[in-house]
Amino acid sequence: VVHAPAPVLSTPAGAVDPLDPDVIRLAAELVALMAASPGCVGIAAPQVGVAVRLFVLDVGGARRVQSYAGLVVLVNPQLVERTGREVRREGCLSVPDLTGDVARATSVVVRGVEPGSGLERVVEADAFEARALQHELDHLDGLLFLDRLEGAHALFARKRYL
Amino acid sequence: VWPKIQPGVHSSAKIAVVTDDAVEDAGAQGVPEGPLSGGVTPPETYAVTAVGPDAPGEVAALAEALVGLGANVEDASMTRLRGHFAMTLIAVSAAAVTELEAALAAAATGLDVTVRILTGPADSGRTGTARRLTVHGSDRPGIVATVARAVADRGGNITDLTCRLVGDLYVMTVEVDLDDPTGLAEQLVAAGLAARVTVIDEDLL
Repeated sequence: VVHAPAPVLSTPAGAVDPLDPDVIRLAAELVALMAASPGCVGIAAPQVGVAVRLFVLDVGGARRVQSYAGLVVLVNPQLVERTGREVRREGCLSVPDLTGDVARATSVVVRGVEPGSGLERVVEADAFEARALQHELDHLDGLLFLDRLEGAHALFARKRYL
Repeated sequence: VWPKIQPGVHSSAKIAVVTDDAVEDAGAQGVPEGPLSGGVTPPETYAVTAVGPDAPGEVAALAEALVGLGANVEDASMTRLRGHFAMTLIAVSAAAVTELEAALAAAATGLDVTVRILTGPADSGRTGTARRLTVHGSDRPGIVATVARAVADRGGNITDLTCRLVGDLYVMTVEVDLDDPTGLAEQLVAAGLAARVTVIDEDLL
C-alpha cells in the first residue's frame, strides 16, 4: 500500500474499461489485499499506486454500520445523491499515523460498473458505509481525508491501531 | 480586587505601583475618590508559556499555581508538539511577574516556563472571510514559510495553525481570514504541495 505523500494519492485517476483483463485482475488483487489487511473496509486503486477509477469496499464487521451492501467492487463510480452532514474522525490505510475530523454526507447513492460483468450497480448507503464510500470516491479524485480536515485543530495522532 | 477597571486601560502600569493615571481613570469610572489602600495593584494581563517533557498532571500543577495567586486563566491552548508538552495561556492577575514565575517554577519543575506582561492591544476581530487551508506533501525545509508567505501576500491573516510531520509526510492545517484566495492553492500546488482552500461554513442557530 502506497503512503502519503506519494504523488499518486493526490492525482485524479482516469476512467478505465471494466472489461479490461488488467482491470479485472487489479480488482481481484484489491479484494484480496482488503481481506488481508486487519480493519480495512476499503481500498482504492491509487492506494496501490495505480491511478485508475476503481475501488473495493466491504464494511462487514466494522463498528457503527447501518447499511451493508456486502462486497462492493466498482469501476468508474459516481456519487449520484448525497444527503445529511456529519463530522467524525476518520483514518486511512495510506496515512497510517494520523486521523482527522471530516464532514461527510450521512446518506449517499453511488453508481458504478462491476468489473468483469460490466453490469451497472447502484449502492445506497448510510452511516459508516456512506462515509467509507465517500472516502474511496475521494481517492479517485486525488483527495485524502487530509484535504477535508474541518480546521486547524482537526488533525490528530492516531489513537488506535487494528 | 481592583474594581471596574477596563482591560488594557492600565496596561502600562508597573506591578505593585499605582500610577496617577490609574487613580484618575478609576475615578472617572465611578470608583470613590480618595487614597487607595496600600498593596492594591491593578491586574495585569500575562502571557504564560510552558514547554518541556510531557507528563501527567502538568496542566493541573500549572493551573493550581496560577489560581493560588488569584490569577484567572482566560484563553489557553495546550498540545503535544513532537511529544513535547507545549502550552500557552493568557491569565489576568494582580500578582507580580516574579511571584508568578516562582509559583509556576515550583509547581512544574520539568517545564521551561516563561511569564510576561502583555501590553499591546488584543485585536481579535475578523479581517476577512474565514477559510481553511490544508496543505500536505513531502517534508522539506520551508513549507511553512512558503504557505504563510503566500497567505500574507494576499493580505490574509492566519488565525489558527497546526503542522505535523509523520515520516516523510508534512501536513499543515491553517485557518485564515482571507477575502481573496485567488491563485493561493494553485501557487502551492506549483510548489509541489497538495493544497486546498475552502470557506468555513457556520450554521448559526
